[in-house]
Amino acid sequence: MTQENVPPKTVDRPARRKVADLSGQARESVDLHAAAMSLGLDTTRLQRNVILCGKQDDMGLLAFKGTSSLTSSIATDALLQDPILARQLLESLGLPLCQGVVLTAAHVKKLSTLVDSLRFPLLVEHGGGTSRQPEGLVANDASELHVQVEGYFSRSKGRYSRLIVTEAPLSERNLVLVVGDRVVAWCSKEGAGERWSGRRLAELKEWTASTALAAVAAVPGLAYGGVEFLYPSGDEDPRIRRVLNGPRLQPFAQGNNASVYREVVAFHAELSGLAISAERNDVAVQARLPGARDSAGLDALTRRIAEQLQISMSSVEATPERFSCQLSGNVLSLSMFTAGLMGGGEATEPVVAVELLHLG
Amino acid sequence: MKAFQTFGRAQVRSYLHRAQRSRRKESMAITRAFCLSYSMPLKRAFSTSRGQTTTSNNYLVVVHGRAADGTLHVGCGEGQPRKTLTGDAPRDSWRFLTETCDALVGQALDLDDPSKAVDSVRQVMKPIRAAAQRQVKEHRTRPFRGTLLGIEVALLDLAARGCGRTVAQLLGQQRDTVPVSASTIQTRYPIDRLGTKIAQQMERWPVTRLKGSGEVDLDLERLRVAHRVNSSQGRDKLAWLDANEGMTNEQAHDFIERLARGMKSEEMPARVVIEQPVPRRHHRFLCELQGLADTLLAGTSARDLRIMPDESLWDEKDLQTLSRYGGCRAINIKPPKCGGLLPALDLARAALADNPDTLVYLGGMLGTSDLTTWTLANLGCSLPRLDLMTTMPPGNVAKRIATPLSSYAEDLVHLQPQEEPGIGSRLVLQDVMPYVRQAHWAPAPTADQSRKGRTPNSYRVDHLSAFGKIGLDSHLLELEALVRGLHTTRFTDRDFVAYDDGGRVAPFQWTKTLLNGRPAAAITGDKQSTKYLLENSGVPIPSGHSFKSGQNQEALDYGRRLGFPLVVKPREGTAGIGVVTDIADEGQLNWAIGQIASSKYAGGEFIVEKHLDESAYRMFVLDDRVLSAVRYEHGSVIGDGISCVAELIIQRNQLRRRNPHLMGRLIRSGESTTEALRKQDLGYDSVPAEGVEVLLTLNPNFAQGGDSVELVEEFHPTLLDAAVAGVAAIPGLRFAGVDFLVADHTAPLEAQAAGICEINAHPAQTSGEFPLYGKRTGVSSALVDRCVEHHGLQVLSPGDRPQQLAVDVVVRGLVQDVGYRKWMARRCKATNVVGWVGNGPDNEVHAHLAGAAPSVAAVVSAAIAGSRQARPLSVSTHQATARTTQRFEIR
Repeated sequence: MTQENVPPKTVDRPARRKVADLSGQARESVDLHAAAMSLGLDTTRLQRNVILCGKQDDMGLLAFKGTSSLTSSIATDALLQDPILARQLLESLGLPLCQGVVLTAAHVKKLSTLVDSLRFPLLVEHGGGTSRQPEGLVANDASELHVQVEGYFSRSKGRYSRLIVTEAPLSERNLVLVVGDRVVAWCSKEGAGERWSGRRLAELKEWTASTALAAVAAVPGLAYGGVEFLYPSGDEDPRIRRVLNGPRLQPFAQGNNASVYREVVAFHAELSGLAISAERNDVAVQARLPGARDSAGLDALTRRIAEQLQISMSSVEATPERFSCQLSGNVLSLSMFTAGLMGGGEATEPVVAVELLHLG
Repeated sequence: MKAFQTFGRAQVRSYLHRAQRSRRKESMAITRAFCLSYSMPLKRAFSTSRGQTTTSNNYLVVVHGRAADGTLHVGCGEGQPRKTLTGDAPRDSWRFLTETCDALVGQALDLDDPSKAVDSVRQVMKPIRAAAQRQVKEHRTRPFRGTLLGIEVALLDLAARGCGRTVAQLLGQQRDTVPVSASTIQTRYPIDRLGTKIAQQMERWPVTRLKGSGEVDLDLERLRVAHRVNSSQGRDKLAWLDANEGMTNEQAHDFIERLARGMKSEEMPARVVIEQPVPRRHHRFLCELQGLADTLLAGTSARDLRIMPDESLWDEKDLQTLSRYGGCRAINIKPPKCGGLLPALDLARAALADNPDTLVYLGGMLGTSDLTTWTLANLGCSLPRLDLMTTMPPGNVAKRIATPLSSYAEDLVHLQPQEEPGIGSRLVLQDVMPYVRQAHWAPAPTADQSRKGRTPNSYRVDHLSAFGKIGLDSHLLELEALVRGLHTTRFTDRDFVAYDDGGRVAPFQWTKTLLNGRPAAAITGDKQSTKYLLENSGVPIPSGHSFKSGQNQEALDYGRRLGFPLVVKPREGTAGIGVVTDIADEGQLNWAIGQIASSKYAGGEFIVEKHLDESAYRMFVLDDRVLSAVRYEHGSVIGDGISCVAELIIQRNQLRRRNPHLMGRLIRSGESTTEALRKQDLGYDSVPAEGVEVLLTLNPNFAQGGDSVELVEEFHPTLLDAAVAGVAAIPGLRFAGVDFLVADHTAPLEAQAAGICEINAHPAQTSGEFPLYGKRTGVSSALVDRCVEHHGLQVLSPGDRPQQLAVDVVVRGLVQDVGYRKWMARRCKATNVVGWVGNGPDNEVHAHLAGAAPSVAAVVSAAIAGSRQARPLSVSTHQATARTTQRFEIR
């Protein structure tokens, strides 16, 4: 018997396998959505990465874009996504940052002097957002640094073209997740190219935890976030490399038994005045697809996805303006169901929104 | 009246009236005159030893004259104000030009014969030159020569057209064509590439002209390379080095000695011209250099080394000075230095009378239009001798503004003036329209700028002109933060943080603030998600649905069922890209869907929705309040029975230039405007009758020339409620721009077809801040108030907010030794900000600024850009106590 023919041991295994196929924000969004449903919240998936949560027909109470919540402002998000602006902001807030220097094209001639006090390897990042250059480039010596810096400024001649060069020791890095006024989880990795792995909360040093809390509290418009620390050398306190608005939660979830997704949803539900219920992994919901026109096509699509995810489907109602049905299954499967509908088939019309309302 | 006294316009007028009394029977009366100041971007920056030029600022002078037989003639000249190079301080020379235009109206030109026509131009110019000359005390150099050129050429052009002759014929034509001698090789070509460049010019140009570097060894080597390359091809070309005042007297002496030795030993070209090697005031030394060259090369008849004064030789007066010291054997005639074609002609005649062997070069200034090329070609044909000329058809300007365009004859070397009267070319006003910065008409224009009984608003803009669209939005927020007593730190033109004494911070990126959550921005970026949420909340929207790329047939079927007219737009588009409105039939619908596939949104989903043919409003909503409701209106001009459409547009653009929101959105002669005129059977040259309104836009879009009208106070409450409900429907959205289509803004919602077509989570607020018509609203003020309240920042109460600001500023980054302090001082002085600026520790620049709050805040916001070479990283501004000072100084 091949691996594919082994029957699923738990109902959410097919969904989990499909979740693993997703990348980045879409994957995080599915897990966050599942957590919201497991806490008894009604939800609407608007786009691949946007989830609204609420009760019955009032869905405007809580919203997530990826793992960013409506409590994180767009101004803060924009500033933190740019490593240079983020550094200047955090510096002005008096936070302990790793050693670094911001460069303009005019600094190239003085590069050696400017980075004289920094220890290699160095991380070279440009302004404009970490999503395009998540880890930056590492320069191991002065010649590599010159090549990278000169290369960048020969391509980018704008008035605000800037680079930030920071120390990036090969030692351990920590990423601490702060939700409200609590450190919820943390993870670590050995170097820039490694993968994050979750760690037990009890192992986190007190100084690091309190600095992470202070950092998130200091950044305006940030209710929860991740704080990344570097260790310049063994005997020094760690330094903050960056603060992330809506960090990926997957690494934290992997190493901690506690569901960080549920922690995040519960925290925001409380902020929004939404009552949550006891955690349930299997739920029954009414699914509605407003604005549907091709009811026959949607009927076929929903049945196919439900079958793949082992969701039971009943009471299908298909009208030219509305499509609804009742579904029961694991919250992760149901979340994947909504994500699958958003992708849809090429032949079907775009699905604008998928509403899941708890039954009973 | 004060301005009259400044330049003696009264005297000019009086003199001209006396001259008129002897008017001949064949005369032409000047009925109208106007002048334009325009700024033309160069395609490539031009570098000299004096610095880099990226735009060219010129004047255009247009005079209308009516001949005795009633025929209307139009003359046009281009002035070339080049600051110290032509004695034109920008503000003063513009004022001088406008006053001269006023004085010209009513004057007459005698057209009995060409010589009398020239004489009458001289007569008209005489008091104008005298008025200019009276400014010699204020200006170091001879005043307004570049401006005088434009005035004189316009008069010559008019007179020549009146006589039915070319300007060259009027001036006494000597030859039919003028040869271009050389294309100057810039210093950016290093020695190892110089030979290739010279070889490329081998066949076409008879002379090799090099820009000087100011370094003796390098310039000698460049000449040596020129000789080597030219002689290897058997060419004995004249080599010409334009030294641009780049040497000291000692260096120049050494240079000439070594050059002469090289020429003798045949390492250097046999014939060389060295142009202005030393600073302009050294007339005597130039002549001594010529003497030195002649002495060193005495007895070598085949060797000829000439010194050519450029900046040292403006006119006949300079020629006399040079003659006193022995003279030079080459002259450089530039009409913008002489102040006209006639003084240029006089200079050439005088020089040749002095020494018939004088080599005569005719040149111009950089960044001029075809009008000047034609003008110089006419002058070139008239000079008694012409050896060298470098004026070419303008290839480096962003737009050619005259017709016909100047061009070479078939040999690609000679310029041949047109045979049509005048300078042979005329100004195309619609092409220069977008580049016009200032305009003046005599008599003053009477076109109506009010609309539907509303008079246009006028704003103070001098302190805002340096900001781009995004920078202006961000600056307005920083101004509001500063007048509330907050401190700020700015990182880029769009990013800054404001903070109070307690360290509480509010970040701003453009108009992104703490108020809106990130998901709200993601939702409003998707038009279909927005429609879904608005519909769920009962907010009116146009009916419609989204389709995947390739679902064209489904979209066509849906559109047919929905009924025309329709709108097609990308589901996640911005800036109007891919949006097609008012689709009337299936063919247009199919085309609209197809053009999305060819746009940057190809492959994405698109929306087909009902087109509401109502007025469009941009409403700014903050929580439960509508701050502003601006109606987009079609741009239009109203005729005065005299001005053509292009002139009326320029006048309209002058109004837009005084509006911070519209100053970067001028009316252009683009496809949309041309099509709008065509639909009314009009062109840019048409002269609409008095009171007739001419529409200039197909869509009421600000960027295409549309007008903005603030109407929030007239809005019906039900419409305001709908806009507020629309914003409330988006989770996490508190401040937004709502695009609302409304038939009648004073009628209730339920009584009309209306719908919200889009919501923007970070709208540019300047349309609400600076409407062209209607009452100004404080969008930025309300937004900052709500931000500081949201985050608990301590600010001054409204009654305590100052009109005057005093701040201490620290600028970090690369700001020392890059002209930063001079830049700040210039900007402060221009906007009446007092205080000081100086270098501080750690390569910082420190400043103390005090003055009117808008002016101080504008300097602070602009300080993140600074001088051209500066690269500031941050500008920290702290509230301070004003220190008594009446001026601004550099420490």
